Amino acid sequence: MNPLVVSKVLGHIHPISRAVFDIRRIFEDLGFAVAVGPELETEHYNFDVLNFPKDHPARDMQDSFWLRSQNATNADFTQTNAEGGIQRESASSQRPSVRSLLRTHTSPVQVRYMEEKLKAGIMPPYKIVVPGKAFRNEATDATHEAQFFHVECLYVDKNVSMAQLKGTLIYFFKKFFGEDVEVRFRVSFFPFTEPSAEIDMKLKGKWLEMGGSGLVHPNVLKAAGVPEGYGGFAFGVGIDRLVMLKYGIPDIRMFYNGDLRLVNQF
Amino acid sequence: MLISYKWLQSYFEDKLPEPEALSERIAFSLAEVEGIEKNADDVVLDIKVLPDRACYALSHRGVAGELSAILNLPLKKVEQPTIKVGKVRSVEFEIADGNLCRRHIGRVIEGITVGKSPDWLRERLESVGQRSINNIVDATNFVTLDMGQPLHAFDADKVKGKVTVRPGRTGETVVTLDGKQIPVDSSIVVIADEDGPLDIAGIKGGKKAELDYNTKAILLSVANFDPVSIRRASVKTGIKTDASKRFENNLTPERARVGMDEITSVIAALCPEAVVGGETDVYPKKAGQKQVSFSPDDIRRMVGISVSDTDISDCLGRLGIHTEKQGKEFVAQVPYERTDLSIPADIAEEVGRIIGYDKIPAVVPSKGKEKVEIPKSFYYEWKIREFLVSAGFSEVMTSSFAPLGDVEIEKPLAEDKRFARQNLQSNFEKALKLNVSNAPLFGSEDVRIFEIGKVFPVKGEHTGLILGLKHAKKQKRNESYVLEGLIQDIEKSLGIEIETKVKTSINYGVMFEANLDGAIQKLSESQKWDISIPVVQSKKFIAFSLYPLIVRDIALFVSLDTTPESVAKIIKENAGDLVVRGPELFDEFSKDGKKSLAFRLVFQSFDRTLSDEEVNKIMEKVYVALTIHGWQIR
Repeated sequence: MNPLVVSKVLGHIHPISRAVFDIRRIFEDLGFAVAVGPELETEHYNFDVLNFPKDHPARDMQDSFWLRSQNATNADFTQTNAEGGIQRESASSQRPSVRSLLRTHTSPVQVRYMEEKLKAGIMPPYKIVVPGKAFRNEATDATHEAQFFHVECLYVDKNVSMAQLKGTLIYFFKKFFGEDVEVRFRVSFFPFTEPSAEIDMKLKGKWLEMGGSGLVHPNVLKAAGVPEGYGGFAFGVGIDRLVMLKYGIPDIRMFYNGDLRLVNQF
Repeated sequence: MLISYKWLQSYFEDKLPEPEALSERIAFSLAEVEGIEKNADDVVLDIKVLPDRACYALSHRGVAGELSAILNLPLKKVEQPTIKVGKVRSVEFEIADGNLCRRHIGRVIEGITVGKSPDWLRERLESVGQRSINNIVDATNFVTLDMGQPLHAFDADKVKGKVTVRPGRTGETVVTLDGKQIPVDSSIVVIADEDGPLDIAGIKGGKKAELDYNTKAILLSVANFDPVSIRRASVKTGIKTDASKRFENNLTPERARVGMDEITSVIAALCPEAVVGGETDVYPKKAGQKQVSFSPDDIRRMVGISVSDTDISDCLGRLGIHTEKQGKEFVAQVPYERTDLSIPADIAEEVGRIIGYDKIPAVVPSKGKEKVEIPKSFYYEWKIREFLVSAGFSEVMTSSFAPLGDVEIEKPLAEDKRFARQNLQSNFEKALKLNVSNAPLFGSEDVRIFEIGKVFPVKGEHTGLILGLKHAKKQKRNESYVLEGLIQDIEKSLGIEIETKVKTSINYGVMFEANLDGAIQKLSESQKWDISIPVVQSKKFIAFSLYPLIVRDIALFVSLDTTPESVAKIIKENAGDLVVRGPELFDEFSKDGKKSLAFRLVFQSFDRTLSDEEVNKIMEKVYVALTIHGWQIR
């Protein structure tokens, strides 16, 4: 190394990156690989293939960061047809959507990954974790940021169950937070999972909402081209939240202002 | 939706569990309970029914049905209302497009008296925070809250000729009940008479045929609309109502029948003198009874619970879903209102939640034999992090939004966040400045930071790397020179050539930004994870002050045998609580039989901006204490 820059003091890794580092290691032990994808995503991968109905509110302008420059082609998807009647659209009977947005989760990588593998002739099992930045158009406060890190986990195989989903989550949280955690499911709803479950984790005697999970909806596997006979589970958790809970960081906004007063503590 | 505990109880002979315990059961098996509030002798639960279950559970009867299944408690038998029909005027009904309006049932009731609601009705509505308006309107609201079907009553004398459900026409407007003029067009469905629209169908009632205290005859309208067109019309008109929300969630047209029967019988009871007309049911395409075939083995496999075939049918039976065995398969007869159920996975969720998600065991999937691959970009970005950290650089993250750029956001959060960042530099520069001003807190004026993140040029995105360096004042070495050397080192150690590099010098140091994508692409796949990072320094975040800091240096001559520690001790004792860092020895030399020591103190308050005078006073105190020891302040 250049002798000019040799430092007696080591630098610090951002706590979010450190969590990503830890997550990679924890999941490697279970045979999960890291997968990555673009932050600038198409409506097709962010919503369509994840079984979001064409009219799902998450697609509304106010909930996502749609991009202006690449929106011109959207004229094909206007709401009325030539006769002036309302055109009904279902997610499955559509040409791929062409609008772009900053991805609202890292879940689009699910389908991107499966498509890529199938194209290369590689059949399941697929086991991936997808850490990365995601964006939601919401007012910011101590616990909400318009940008945050999300980790999606996907396992596709024959005979995948909610029991394995639970087991994987417990394994993950124990490795990340310590042995003294519990996990429970509450019934929930997400377009891309069925059955769906909200993940609660008990940490230091308190139940906390951690994210969403479930078995991959058959429409998602179908959209990716996975043949019949396979199933899967998926879950998504906010990395910011994991880090805030682990170290007692009170404000999510601290992560994104480049402040060493935070980073240097870790 | 607000649900009254007493109202729920009216559906059961058996006593329901106490509200708290009941909420717990609801939270695990049906929907989140967002609030439990005592309201006189009742308790109101705020149940956040999610979109999939809103087609059947967004009512007291819907929740009661769920509780019956979850708690395995029988529902009270509800008597079918009997309706005595008499002779009234005849009104014609028509649906222009059966895809937009799937059913419309109309009925005229004459000889009614609009007046105050009886106590039982007022209490029911008030128990869930609704205001009583008059007996007829209250009755419609009550039936909706009770069984889920939106209903509307027009003043029949204000309706002229045939009633048609049709797309609006450009140029038409509806004056809503709250007096707003809403222009309609072909994308908004209206219920109209011969003269024009009476209301915005499925969304909001209109003034034209509004009930008043002189109303003698009403026209009951119970309809079902296409959820997509309702949602679009609701977005377009900017009107979101309880009714529009219900229709958006795909109610079955079958419920309109139940709704009409119940509203008729409630009004007939409220106005015993009224004459109830026959109904006109326009129902172009009857909803079919859905069936879902599934194999019980698949259900067991998906949920991961060993549960018998009988238990599966029993769980489903409790939800009103009857199953029949056909060979190895089961066929489930899905109740009309359960428009959410169509595939075996839906059945698996029903079985899972009724048995209880808490009964699902935890099983860790086996690791498998496959090699765990590492994406190239991920690996090399970490390689660079590892390298930079060992060179004393710390990683920061800054906002992905910027006031300027190439990729514009349709609806930005703020003026200065109108674009996705085109480079890292613009936000990173602020971070460098911030950290340079806070450098005394870190014990060194050298600030070394970096960021790795996605940036968005005109087309696509790429991963950027930016380095920032600000040397301590006394360092003579040129920052640009150091950064260039560092980039070369990265290139050398990874065997890459980083193509685009931009160097920027600012008051607070030098920044160097590069595009990593091209260089990383050329590298070979990584075969194994061999990256290590320093162990974490702290288990717990320590809050820091957001107020400005003040630095004070103090230099003094002491005798040769005086240790720096003994001096630091005196300084510390006298400098007070506002010292956040120090005293730190930063200079020491001996000359002419004397020793010179220099210490640095950093002052900062957690609740205010410190003034120079305030810190001067503290320093005076320190000087006095040091002088008493015979040390000479320089």
